[in-house]
Amino acid sequence: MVQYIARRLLLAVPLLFGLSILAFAYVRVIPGDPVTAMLGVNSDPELVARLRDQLGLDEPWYQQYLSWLGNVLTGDFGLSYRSRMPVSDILVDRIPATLELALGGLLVGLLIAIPAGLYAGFRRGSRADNVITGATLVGLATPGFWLGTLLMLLLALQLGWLPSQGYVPFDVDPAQNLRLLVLPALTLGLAIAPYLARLTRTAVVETGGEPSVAYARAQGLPERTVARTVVLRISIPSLIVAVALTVGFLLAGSIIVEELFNWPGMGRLVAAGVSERDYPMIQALMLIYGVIFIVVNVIAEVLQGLMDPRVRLT
Amino acid sequence: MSAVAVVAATTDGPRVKRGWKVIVGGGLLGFLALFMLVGPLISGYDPNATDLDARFAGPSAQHWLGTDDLGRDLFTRMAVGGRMTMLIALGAVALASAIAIPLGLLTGYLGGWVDLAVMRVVDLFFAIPTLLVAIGIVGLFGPSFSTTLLALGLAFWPFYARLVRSAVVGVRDLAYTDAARVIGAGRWRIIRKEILPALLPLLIVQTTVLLGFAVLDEAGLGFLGLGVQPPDASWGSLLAQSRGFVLSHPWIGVIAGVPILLVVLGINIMADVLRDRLDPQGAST
Amino acid sequence: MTGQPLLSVRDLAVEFGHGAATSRPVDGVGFEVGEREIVGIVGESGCGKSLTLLALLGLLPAGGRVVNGAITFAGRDLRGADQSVLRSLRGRQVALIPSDAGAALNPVARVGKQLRLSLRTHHPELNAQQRRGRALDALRRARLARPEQALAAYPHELSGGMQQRSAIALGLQNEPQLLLADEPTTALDVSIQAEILKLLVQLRDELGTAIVFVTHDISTVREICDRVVVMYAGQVVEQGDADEVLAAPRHPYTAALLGSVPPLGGVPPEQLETVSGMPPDPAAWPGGCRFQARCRHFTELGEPDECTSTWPGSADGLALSAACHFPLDDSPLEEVRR
Ligand SMILES: Nc1ncnc2c1ncn2[C@@H]1O[C@H](COP(=O)(O)OP(=O)(O)O)[C@@H](O)[C@H]1O
Ligand code: SF4
Ligand SMILES: [Mg+2]
Repeated sequence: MVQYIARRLLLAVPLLFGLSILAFAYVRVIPGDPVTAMLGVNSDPELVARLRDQLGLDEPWYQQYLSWLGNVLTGDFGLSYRSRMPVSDILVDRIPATLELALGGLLVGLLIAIPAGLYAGFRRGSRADNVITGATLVGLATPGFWLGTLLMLLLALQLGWLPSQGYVPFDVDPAQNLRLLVLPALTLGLAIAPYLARLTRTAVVETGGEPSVAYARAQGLPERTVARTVVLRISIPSLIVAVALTVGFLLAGSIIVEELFNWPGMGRLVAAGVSERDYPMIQALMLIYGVIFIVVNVIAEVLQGLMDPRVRLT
Repeated sequence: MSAVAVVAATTDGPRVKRGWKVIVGGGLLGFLALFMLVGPLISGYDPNATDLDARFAGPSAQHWLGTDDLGRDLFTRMAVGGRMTMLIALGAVALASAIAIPLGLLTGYLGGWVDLAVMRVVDLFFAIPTLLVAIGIVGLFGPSFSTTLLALGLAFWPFYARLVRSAVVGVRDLAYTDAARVIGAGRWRIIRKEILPALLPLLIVQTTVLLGFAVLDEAGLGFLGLGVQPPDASWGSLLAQSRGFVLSHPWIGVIAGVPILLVVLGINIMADVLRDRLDPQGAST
Repeated sequence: MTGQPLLSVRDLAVEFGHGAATSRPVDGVGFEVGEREIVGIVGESGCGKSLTLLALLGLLPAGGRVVNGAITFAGRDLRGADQSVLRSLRGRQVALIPSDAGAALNPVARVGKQLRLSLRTHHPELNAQQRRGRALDALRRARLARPEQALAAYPHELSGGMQQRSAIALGLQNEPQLLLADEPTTALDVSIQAEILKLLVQLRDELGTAIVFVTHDISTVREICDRVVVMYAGQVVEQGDADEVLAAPRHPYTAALLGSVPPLGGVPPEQLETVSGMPPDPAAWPGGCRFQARCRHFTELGEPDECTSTWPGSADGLALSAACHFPLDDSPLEEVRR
């Protein structure tokens, strides 16, 4: 097991390396001279000089990369063009809000999707399966921000049950923090639930076709035992990995949900960063979203290895 | 086959009737196509013509779906915006296919270091949310119609390429490709004559699925203000515009999402139908 | 066979699909299994052997249904029995030995756990210690070299032979009256195949369990079976005492199957007679004799009309005297052939 975990971690290294290259290269492929592109044609020559220096544009690219990487590894992402503040300072404030939203959304999504997907998968072809599968189809077609708008109009403005938007840090006022979290997390959860439900159902249905399941029935085991000890035990480890792969959807969804509900996470920096061509910020965001994805997936694979002895061999 | 394998191989129950899907899916798409193509002609409005006396008008005999903050006819703008969105979506899918299909075929068929290298790049793209990749590309070129198309196309290809590759690996070593190799057919000939036809069902289904995602992501970019820019209308830009007054005039935001939902639903249903018809293995779930 | 047979199957038919898409892969199968008897069911892949076994257990794949026939086990009617009755029978009185134990055993549960789960289902009166003892016993009886280790192992940690022995132990531990072994050796190396065959005979001798042994390889029948049932295209074409049938096959299909393996210890014939061509499609069985398109005898006899016009079988599906209009020992050509 230790070996398995070590191998998973090792496999993440080239991915992280690639990610850093991509983020580094991103700023270099801006059409035209990067500094002019960043600052505009008629900008302060002093600023131009400082930026050239900051980017190390006169050194060979691999040296630029290495010194940039060294900075990044020590948490230095450079200065934001917009606010002239260190990018890392801005991000540190934002990351907890995004993580809170993402976890909340994931929780809501799983709470809806897992029971629904399991029910549909175990009762394939039943009326309930058709209803759930139909709802999944509609859910997959529903734009998340539109759904969020509807929820906000209904739950906050019509019914007045919840605050419509805003954010209070958890350590300042936990109750208010959670109240404010409900709408965004619900929106995000509903947006990813169809994906999760579909994955769950597919996993159950596919495992249901495994020889082990037929053999368990041939042993006279009760259906409940077959479901629990064979179907679920086989599908859950791979389902965990499949869910981890949808973290991309979750993060993309969070960018939009944050924007919609004025949730001050990293996502709000994305649109602002792009509109204002704040390249160090975009670079840092790419890295952080990528790292979150990679970390989550490594954790998922480790969990899979814990639960499925066959996987440990690979 | 052993007793156990027989049960395993046949998880599919009796064939469910799929007729309703064609009717619903085809109906939705037909209806929306009609709306987009003919709508502006029958409404009689110029989508960009402002009328400050008729700002925020509700639905009426003059303006079937009301007007926006500048008094422009929403029915017309939504129809015209739909054209724009569909154009972007189709273009993006075409671009993604143009990259992914040859790449997937090559890597899947050749294997070796080419395969390894390309697939590591693909892995990398998996690690960054698609929307973020698209946003990054918008960041390079500035938001516009063509950037949106380019951004979505470039964000989608890795998913598609991986799928094509694994399908190619699946058919590469099948008997008939082996046979073709034995009789001395060249690589290109085998790819063109043996592998590509075998993949066609998958490709058709996947481009359809991707089209749905493209429509949704165009709207997502638009919502963030990074898509098609005003005064031009697309479904995404209409949504972005509606955000400014969603509290005072919620109607516009509510109605603007409906065609997106309907068109993506229609596309997804048709993708299901195609999967059932063309690719029965993939349809079992 | 004396008295009531343990298992009796008459004119069994299984259908899939509806309307024009209906297929009948099992179409009139009859045979009996007596106490302590090993009965071989032999036939090419796809002739309906596995579906026959699954029909007995009430475990046909989705869409499959028994449309005709009678199944009686230990005096009870199984065809009309509902699932709860069948479930209490499965694994307890009738156990299935899968062909590929490596794929069939639950990959994420230790062998010991799988044995105990089945014991808990069928013998709820046993306590944990008794269950463990019984599971160990079963593994020993299945001649597993290190039973304690096997208990704690996941299936993939065992060799193919050990996996198969574990599955046999799983089948045996509840002391069933009947084992249904569906090609239990096809997934194994030849040397291990022989060991497993020997094990089955030993177990029958020790425990008195009757065995239905399904195979597509007629040479294995010779080694272990008391009686043999030959199936072709969803039907029984010939059955009887294994020694007699193998020594003097009456149906041309049996003869062809035998011709395709060298006789045990004998000199191989100059030309291996294989059955050329493909079996017919269960969705469209041909009229007359189903073997006719591949029957050399039919050609040699000058393509007689009976073969194309009339079905040669019997209504009970037993085919006790070979389902052929021109059985080999009655045929004038037989002398020439020998
Ligand atoms: N689930 C199924 N649906 C339809 N036809 C099936 C199904 N399972 C098996 N068959 C048909 O039944 C025939 C007999 O299958 P099987 O009993 O597995 O043969 P055997 O075990 O003799 O190799 C196969 O040729 C196949 O065409
Ligand atoms: S009935 Fe005719 S065709 Fe059929 S096996 Fe006998 S001889 Fe051959
Ligand atoms: Mg079989």
